[in-house]
Amino acid sequence: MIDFKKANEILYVLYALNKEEKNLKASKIAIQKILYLSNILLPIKTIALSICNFITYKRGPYDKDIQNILDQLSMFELIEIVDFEKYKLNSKISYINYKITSLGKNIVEENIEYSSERDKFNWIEIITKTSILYTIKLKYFDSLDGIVKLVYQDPTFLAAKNTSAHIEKINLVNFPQTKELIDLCVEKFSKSNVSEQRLFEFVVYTIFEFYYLKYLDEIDA
Amino acid sequence: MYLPKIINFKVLSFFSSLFETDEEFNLPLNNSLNILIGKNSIGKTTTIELILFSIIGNYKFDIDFSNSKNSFVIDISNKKFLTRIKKLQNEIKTQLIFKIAGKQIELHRNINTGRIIKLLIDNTINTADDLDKEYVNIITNLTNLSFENFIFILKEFLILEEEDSYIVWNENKQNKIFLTFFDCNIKRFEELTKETKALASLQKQERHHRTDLYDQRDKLQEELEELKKHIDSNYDPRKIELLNKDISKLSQILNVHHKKYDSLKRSIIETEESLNIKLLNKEEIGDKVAELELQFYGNIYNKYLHYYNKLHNYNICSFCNTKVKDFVVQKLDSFKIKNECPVCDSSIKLNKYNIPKDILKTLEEKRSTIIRLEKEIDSLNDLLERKENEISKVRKNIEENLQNFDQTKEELFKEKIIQTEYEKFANKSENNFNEEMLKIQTGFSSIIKQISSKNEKIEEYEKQIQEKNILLNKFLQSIKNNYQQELDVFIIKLNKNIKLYFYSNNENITFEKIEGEEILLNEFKIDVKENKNKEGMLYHILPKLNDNLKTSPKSLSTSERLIIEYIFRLTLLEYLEETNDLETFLILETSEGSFDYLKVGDLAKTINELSNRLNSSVIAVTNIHDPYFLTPYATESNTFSFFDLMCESEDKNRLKELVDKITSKKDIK
Repeated sequence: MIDFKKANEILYVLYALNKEEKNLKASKIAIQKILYLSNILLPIKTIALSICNFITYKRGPYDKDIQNILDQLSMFELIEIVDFEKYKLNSKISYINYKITSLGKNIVEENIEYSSERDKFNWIEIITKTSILYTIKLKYFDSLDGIVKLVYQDPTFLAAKNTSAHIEKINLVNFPQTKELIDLCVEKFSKSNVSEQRLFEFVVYTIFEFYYLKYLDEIDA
Repeated sequence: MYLPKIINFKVLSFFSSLFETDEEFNLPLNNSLNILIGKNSIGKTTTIELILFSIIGNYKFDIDFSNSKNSFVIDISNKKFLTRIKKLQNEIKTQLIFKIAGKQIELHRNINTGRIIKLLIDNTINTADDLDKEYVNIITNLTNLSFENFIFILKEFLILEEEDSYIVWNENKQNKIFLTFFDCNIKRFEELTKETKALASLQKQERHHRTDLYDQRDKLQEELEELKKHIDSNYDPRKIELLNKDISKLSQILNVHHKKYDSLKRSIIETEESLNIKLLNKEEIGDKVAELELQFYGNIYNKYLHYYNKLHNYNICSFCNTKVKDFVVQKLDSFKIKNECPVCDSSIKLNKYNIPKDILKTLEEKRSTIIRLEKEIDSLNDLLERKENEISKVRKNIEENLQNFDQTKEELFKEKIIQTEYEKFANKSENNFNEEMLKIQTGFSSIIKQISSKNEKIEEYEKQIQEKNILLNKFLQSIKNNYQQELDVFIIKLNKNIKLYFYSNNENITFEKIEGEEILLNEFKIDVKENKNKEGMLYHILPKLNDNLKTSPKSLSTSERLIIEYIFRLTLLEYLEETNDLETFLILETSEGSFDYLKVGDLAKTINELSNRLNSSVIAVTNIHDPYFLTPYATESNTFSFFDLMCESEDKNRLKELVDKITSKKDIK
């Protein structure tokens, strides 16, 4: 049986992407990274995402459930595979780009009638939209893969990655660096009387800008 | 000095009770050895006591042989005998004939009353009114001894009862005996002793008074010190007042804090309770929400997935129920139009899977409740934290105040002690106070004076006592010097006689094995060593034994102790006969029963030999013993048997048989 909650979260990412109508391809890697950011940048406790068991892996934060659920969703025709792209010629690694189907859209639309799911969707939408914005800023015009560059700048991820372990569980209790950053932001923005939605947006833009500047510094170095 | 020699002893009219016979008890005594034989409880000891009582009557006195520092008292009394006699109902009369200084005295005495009934001197009846007094005078004149000394010699030297004390181990008795025999100035000795003792008692009295004075002095000193304390005390009544105020203030503060603490504690408990309730509530609702959510999502997914499930697994369109073939499904898959049925092209209207509106409504309600609860829980947690901080502050305050409270209380207690000290004399005005001080000081100085005068007196007495002691010592020294030769003669005799026993005729026993060899090797000597503790002692005639054998009867066997005592008495008698031309008697109640079995023969032999040298009559009183130890020396004339007094013929016959049997055993060993 499919895990409804996790499936919902993945569908929300693809739904948000589709809403923008930029025709940006969402590979499984991009979906992983957007969900990672959704997890790590959550400034309040009331929204609890189900996909949260990320580990440090070859290409950044990775949750094996995401891939399984993507396969299930594709089987049920809720999402569809747009195309395959070989990473290199004769390489085993390939990018699969996904797109939400009308069936999937129906499910999302019915789900977000429930306020709890609506909150989740709104949050994921903010992250997705910002990701699109910064991908374009990074001059990736047809795919979202540019987001990987920003995720690599995340302090919690870096801290987890820099331990001696080959694979490390990423959690905010052991690696609270990003959380501290967010707390700082929340503290600052909560003084200016804004709605929760705006607060989320402020926090997310600030952190993305921070990633972006760090990335630029890295390139310069 | 002369001593009595008993010739005959008769007991008239008392046997019915004592011996159960009406026969008269008649005991004639020969020179040398006489043997009295009888079984237990037949009256041997009673007879001896009757003889003694006949001669001296009722007596009781102490011979005080001590000076200030030592107390050696010889008690002489016949109390025990008198108690026994009192129990007899019959009147007992005795007739005693004895010679003293060439005169024959016949004495009739009523034992029950203790009085002399009849007194004959050289067969002439004495007609004096008070015969007892007359008798004492006669004895004193004839013996040249005071009557008390006469009693002493008889009781302690001439008669040795079975459990009597020994002379040879008793220095006091030895000293007294020799002083009597050597005809010294006993009166002078007694006077000196008495004077010293009187002085000592006076000194003791003074010492006692002085102790009282010391007590008084100490008491006064205490009073004086208390007065001084009063003067020195820095008592200030305001201090106590202030401290009391402090205490009441502190206790008020403490009360307030305690109340605050209690209320806080209560409110914390209440908050915790409500928090727990809310947490439980949240958990319950959360469970319900999870259940409803599952239902909600399940409905949405199933609504859309059912169509594909039916088509892929059963090749049936769920809208038009048309069954198609596999290749059609595959074909359909490749160009799916999602809003229409791939088979019948009908638009997808899945009304039957619509979610019941009430589920969503409940879900929303529940979720909002949860959010509200979460907020409340957060606020309660904050409240709890605040209250706990507050209560810890209050607790700290209470501890601090309590410490202050205890300190103040301690101070107050100290002040109160000072106050009580002060108030002892507070009623007295300063004048009175000074008067009292003066009074105590005067009393104190007068007591000190009295003490010093007492000290002077005590010292004076001490001097006098010392002088007396010097005199006494000089007196004793002079006796020692004057009679040294006589004593030496006695000692030589004693050592010779002792050898008579220890050199037994048995040649088989080697010298080393002889019992009492220590005594033999270490001859009797006069101990003239000056000993501070034994001041006033004259002689100490004891066997000087090796160091490891202390000079005490305990280091010797019973046999040795007995034989030494017998020999000592017999030798002393022999010596007196030779030097003073004296004839008397000696009663030995022999304890051969407790004698070493193998040595009984030697004992008998020694007694016999030593007795035969004497002109005096030696009466050996002995129990029936098997072997009858004096049998070889018993003749019809010198032996008196109590058996003859037996009333019952059966007993008599039985005893006669026994005696025959005993006498047939001539060979003792």
